[in-house]
Amino acid sequence: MSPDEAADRLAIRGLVDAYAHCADRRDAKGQMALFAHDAHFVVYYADAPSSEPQLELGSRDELAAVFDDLNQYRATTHFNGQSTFEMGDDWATGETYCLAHHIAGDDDAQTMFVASIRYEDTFAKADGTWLFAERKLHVDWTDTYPLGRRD
Amino acid sequence: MNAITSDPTTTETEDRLAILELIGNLALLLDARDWDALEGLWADQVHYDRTSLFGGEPETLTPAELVAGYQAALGGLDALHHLITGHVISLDGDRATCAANMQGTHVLANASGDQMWTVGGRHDYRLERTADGWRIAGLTFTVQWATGNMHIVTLAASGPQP
Repeated sequence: MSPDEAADRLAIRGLVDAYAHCADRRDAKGQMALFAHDAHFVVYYADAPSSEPQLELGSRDELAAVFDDLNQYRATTHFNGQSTFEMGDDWATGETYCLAHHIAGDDDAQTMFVASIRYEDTFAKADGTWLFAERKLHVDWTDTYPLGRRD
Repeated sequence: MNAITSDPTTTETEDRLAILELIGNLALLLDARDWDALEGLWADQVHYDRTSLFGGEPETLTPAELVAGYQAALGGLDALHHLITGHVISLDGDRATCAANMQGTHVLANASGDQMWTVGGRHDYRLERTADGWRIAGLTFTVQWATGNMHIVTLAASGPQP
């Protein structure tokens, strides 16, 4: 592997991790800035009645509402897992696993909603900067359970 | 959030990989309860802040003091699993910071309650380049959620369970 490819792979994984970092801190502007202006953003739920996307957006600006939706939760913690990347010159594709934890409810009755996500990504490099050109979220399974002490 | 650029200079690539490996080793060595190796990950003085979980004040500790605390608190557990992901690293010469998400799962079979305690939140690291490579000079844990039986840590510290 060349030094250039190693640096690109690190930068792309950094981009993937920056998405989770911004999401958990409700930095919607920072999160949107990780996407190309004409980025494609698609969400699929495995348990949906149709194989059609449950959400499909075609620009960076449209992402504001998606990221704003996280504000309904008290906190979120995205645990990114393994990534695989296929490298081109100024583009790359990749898949990253994630367990996204979402905490909701009041102090007396909190719940944990966990979504197992596979991000299927296409990345583009322009002027030395890597951005998401396309991000497909495949929500493979979810689980919701009470959160709290079980002494 | 800085733009995600790739810098092919060997130094930056090596620094980022070294920091990822250093923090990876923190999780692996803690979970393996390899106290001697764990002591080698830290700078001479470590700013250590777990006040969001346990209250009190942040501490400045030597590596030996820090690891002794880990050993006392975690050495008696049946199992321990740290998941540290989403590293966002900022380099500044011989210093660096890294923010990451952390989930710690603690397991102890006991007669009085649930056998697991899981805690999730954010790790903020301060890192320094030393003559021996990158070391952890500061660690702040900010708890976001917890579930299960927190008392198992106290039980583990009190000795073997019946």
